[in-house]
Amino acid sequence: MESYDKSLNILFIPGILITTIGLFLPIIADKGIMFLKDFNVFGISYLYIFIAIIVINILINFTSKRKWIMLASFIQLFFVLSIPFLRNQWKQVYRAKFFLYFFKKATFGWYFLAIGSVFLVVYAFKLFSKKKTVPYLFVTPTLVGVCFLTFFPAIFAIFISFRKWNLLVPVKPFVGLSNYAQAITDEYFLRSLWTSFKYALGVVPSRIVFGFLFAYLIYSIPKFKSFFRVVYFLPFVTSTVAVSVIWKWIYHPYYGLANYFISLFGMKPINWLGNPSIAIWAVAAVSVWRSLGYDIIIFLSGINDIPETVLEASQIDGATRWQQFWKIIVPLIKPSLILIFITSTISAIQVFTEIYMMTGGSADTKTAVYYIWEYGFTRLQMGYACAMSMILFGIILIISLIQMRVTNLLEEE
Amino acid sequence: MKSKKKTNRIFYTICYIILSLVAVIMIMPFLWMILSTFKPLYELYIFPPTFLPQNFTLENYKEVFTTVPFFKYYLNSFIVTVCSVILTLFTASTAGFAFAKYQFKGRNAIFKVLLSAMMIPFPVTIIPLYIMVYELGLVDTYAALIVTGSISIFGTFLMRQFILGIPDDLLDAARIDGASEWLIYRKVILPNIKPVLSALAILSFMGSWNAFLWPLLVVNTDKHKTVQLGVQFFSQQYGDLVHLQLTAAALAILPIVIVYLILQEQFIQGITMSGVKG
Repeated sequence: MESYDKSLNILFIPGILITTIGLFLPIIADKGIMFLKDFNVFGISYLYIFIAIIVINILINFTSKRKWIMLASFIQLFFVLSIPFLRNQWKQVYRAKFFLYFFKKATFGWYFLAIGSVFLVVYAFKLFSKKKTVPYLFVTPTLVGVCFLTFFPAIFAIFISFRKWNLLVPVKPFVGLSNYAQAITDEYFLRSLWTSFKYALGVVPSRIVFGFLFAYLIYSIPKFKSFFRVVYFLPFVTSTVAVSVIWKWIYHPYYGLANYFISLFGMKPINWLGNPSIAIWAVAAVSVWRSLGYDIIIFLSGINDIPETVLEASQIDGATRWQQFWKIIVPLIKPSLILIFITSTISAIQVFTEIYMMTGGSADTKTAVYYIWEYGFTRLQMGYACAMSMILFGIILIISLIQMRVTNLLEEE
Repeated sequence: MKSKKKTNRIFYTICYIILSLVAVIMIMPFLWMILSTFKPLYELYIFPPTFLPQNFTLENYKEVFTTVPFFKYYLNSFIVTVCSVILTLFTASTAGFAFAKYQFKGRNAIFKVLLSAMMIPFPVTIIPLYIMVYELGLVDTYAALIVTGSISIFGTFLMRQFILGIPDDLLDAARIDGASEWLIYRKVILPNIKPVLSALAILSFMGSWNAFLWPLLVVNTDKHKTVQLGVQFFSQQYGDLVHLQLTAAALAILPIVIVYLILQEQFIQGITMSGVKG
């Protein structure tokens, strides 16, 4: 066994001492004091668990096995941090609010334990050579963030979807698959899925066609390229909420600009957002209008990546503009095409804000995410809403896998 | 040769005509909105609509600011956006640095796990996230608004790709001079990734300033409302008062449009970079 820097004992000894003192100080002191011995897991008092951990920690320290020291100190930290979550074991007066309430009431005992454990963890880290621990420290913020914001909620969503879950009702009974069964027989949910699908079918091809077309036009012209790019991109920087307000007014059945415009051609006014057979397409048009600038920039960067020499060679060979477009630019642009194809499908199926702001789900525009939102946050049936969101997730996953397959096959040809 | 020049000229003319017509469609809604904010309500409800305001007025702006604390909304949006952008830049650049320049156990596995998180769409996590925030007592706080915008997996990926291009010799030279890894991150890596930092800053700025669904759920008082929620308030509560809705919308997009017009090249560069994914 290699021996370690003795000066690191400056972390280890205080760590053990502070933790030991913390064992006998009150954890919570407000109305009614709670000590460590008042908490337990599977009937074993926390006091004994901590004493055991401390003894083991000291013993391991003689053997100088770094990994085990690390493990022991992390286990200790874990138990310290678990105390705020043991809501059922808190005295009745503290149970009113979860977690944050704990920090208001926590006192010396808990802080001593926490500081002592942090000392030990830092000590364990210092035992490893610096170069080995640094990359983990750099990755930690992102990893912890993703775990808390994405992975944990995703697993939690599965858990919720098997229960009847109302935010305000404390009893959340397990109901098995009945939420899923309800979802696939719910006519309105299926219809909302179909609406989302229809919306995507409208948005995705238009975005690809218009984005590509205008990118090509901007690419071909000799002057004012950056001017047009800046103008076309403007709607994309503005918020969907504000854009929806503007378009809702443009689509106004009596005083809107859209009806004024078509009246110039002698057409009858249209109730854009009120007519169930038109409304979803009117919203889709706004979405295409808003993302046109984005698509143009992605396609433009794709076209600009085509080597100059390839285009020049084709010109010398006497290729017309038409041939050049179809035979060279279209095949070589495939990466950008795939990117827009996949990302626009995923975002179109998840449309929410436009619908919420422009039609409020009326006139046959209730999309799946809008329906889920309605169930989860206005009717508070979160179990059912989670089951529906899992189904939606499955559908999105299948669609993207198919898309990846298809685009890969095309590339291999 | 001459005929080719001629067809070229015809082609260019057609291009310019189409591009200009569509450019009008891109700009017109904004122009019309701005002009409408200077019209009194009765002038909006006439057909055919007027283009320039006949009865120029600033009352609409005054009314928006007196009906709701719009300055407070600006401040909230500003605080949330600045914090989110700084946190995103920090977390993404440190993680990107580690993935690009260090060999450590489980590096590829961790990276793959991170990328797989991108497949999970927001509607799936939003209900559990809300329950978590609710149980932690964080409803209606800045923390709840900021935390969801503070991590960007895509940003991490972008950073990694960019940092891979920095030569290792540069880092080794610094190490020989006795620089710590943190110092290398600050003095060698950060100055060399300025373009990608500004690209990510712009993307995350747009994301936070325009965020809607999450703020709509977690904020319910004026104390923490953002400007987007201010716009939503007018369109939900004052259904017929179009002049106020349009004015609020104009106020909400004003800051980001100004920033965009000043930094247009950086915006477009940022989006271009975000496209180099495949």
